Amino acid sequence: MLTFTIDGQTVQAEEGQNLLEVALAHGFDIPTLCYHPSVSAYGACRLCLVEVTQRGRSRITTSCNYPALPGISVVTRNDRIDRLRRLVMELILCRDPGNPQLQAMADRLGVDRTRLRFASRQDGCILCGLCERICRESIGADAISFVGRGHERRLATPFDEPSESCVGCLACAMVCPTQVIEFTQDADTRTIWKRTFTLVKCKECGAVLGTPEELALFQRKTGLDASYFDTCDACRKKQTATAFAAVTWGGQRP
Amino acid sequence: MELEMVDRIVDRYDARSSALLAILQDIQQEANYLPQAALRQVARRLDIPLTRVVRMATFYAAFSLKPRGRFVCNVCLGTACHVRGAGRVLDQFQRTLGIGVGETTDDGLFTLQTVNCVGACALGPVVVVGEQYHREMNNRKVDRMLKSYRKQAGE
Repeated sequence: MLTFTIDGQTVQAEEGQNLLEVALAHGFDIPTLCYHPSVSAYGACRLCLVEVTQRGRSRITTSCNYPALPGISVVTRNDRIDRLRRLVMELILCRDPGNPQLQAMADRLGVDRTRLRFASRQDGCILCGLCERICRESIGADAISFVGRGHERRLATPFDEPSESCVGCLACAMVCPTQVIEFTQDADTRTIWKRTFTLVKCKECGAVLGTPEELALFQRKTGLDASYFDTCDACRKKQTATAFAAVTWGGQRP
Repeated sequence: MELEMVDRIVDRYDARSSALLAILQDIQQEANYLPQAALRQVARRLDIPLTRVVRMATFYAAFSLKPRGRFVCNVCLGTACHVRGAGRVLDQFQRTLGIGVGETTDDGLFTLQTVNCVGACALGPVVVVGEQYHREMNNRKVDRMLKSYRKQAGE
């Protein structure tokens, strides 16, 4: 355990934690777009800037990838930080001024317009790479990555072809801070990154469970019995409760 | 595409994934570009995700995922070459070859590329063809140079 201060308040953290997760755990409000607790910090969006003072020297840094250190003092908001966050927000917003998620964050930071224009494309992608990291680190599918460089940089499957390693889990689309990863789903199929998956349904109620590929992957990763993936959460809960009731009260409610 | 060539190169580096960049360079050296099948084979042999290979292959301007001509012409557009008329030299290439930057002539002889500095500023405008450096280029020299490469190809 180590001790330092955030906005004057003394906090404790484990070695190896970053400033952002400690601050969020203590209820401090720090804006982010590219941060997700289940994957490594990447420092792409630069909105989580804070001021860190250590041995009398202060510096502005991203809190998502700055380690908690004993004795430092962290300031999460002041005029300088606000000004820098607004500038960063303008830079991000110019990638797609019409994107609702970006507009919401801009509103929150007091940015009403961007003075810049990003000419190459306005597809809402801010190149934070969160989709790539969730796919690699959490799912383990490694289906998408950054390709190209400079203004041509974008996220795609290898050769823009349907990816063999994609399991169609939609994690990338769910974590995307600007919600721009497209997918479609009807009663029986789901299509993402140009690949169409069939859908497996709950044997009890028919609710969609996911694709066979993602269920197989999660079964492999968790080591759970295959029958675990036959039913949805709600039906499994019902089964467990019924079994529990049978054991405890002989099937009769007291 | 001979995958044995890829295997041979991968073996040269003991299939170490840390040698990915060097492996891609060697493949490009032999095949003149990075064929999709080769990249897939590299990923398989090094036991790394294909995304990691593609990410690197598309990052460096020195790599091409498209087949290139026998003579790859790199017109330097660095500051020194630029002020000495590299733009006109590039125009002359496009006019004479009838292709744009990044394209290859139909006969498969020439690919036109631009580069942002080759570190030979005193010789500007510089054009690098393969391993050969051509100094103080102008329109007349471009035509003469292309003619001599055509002749070389015909032999």
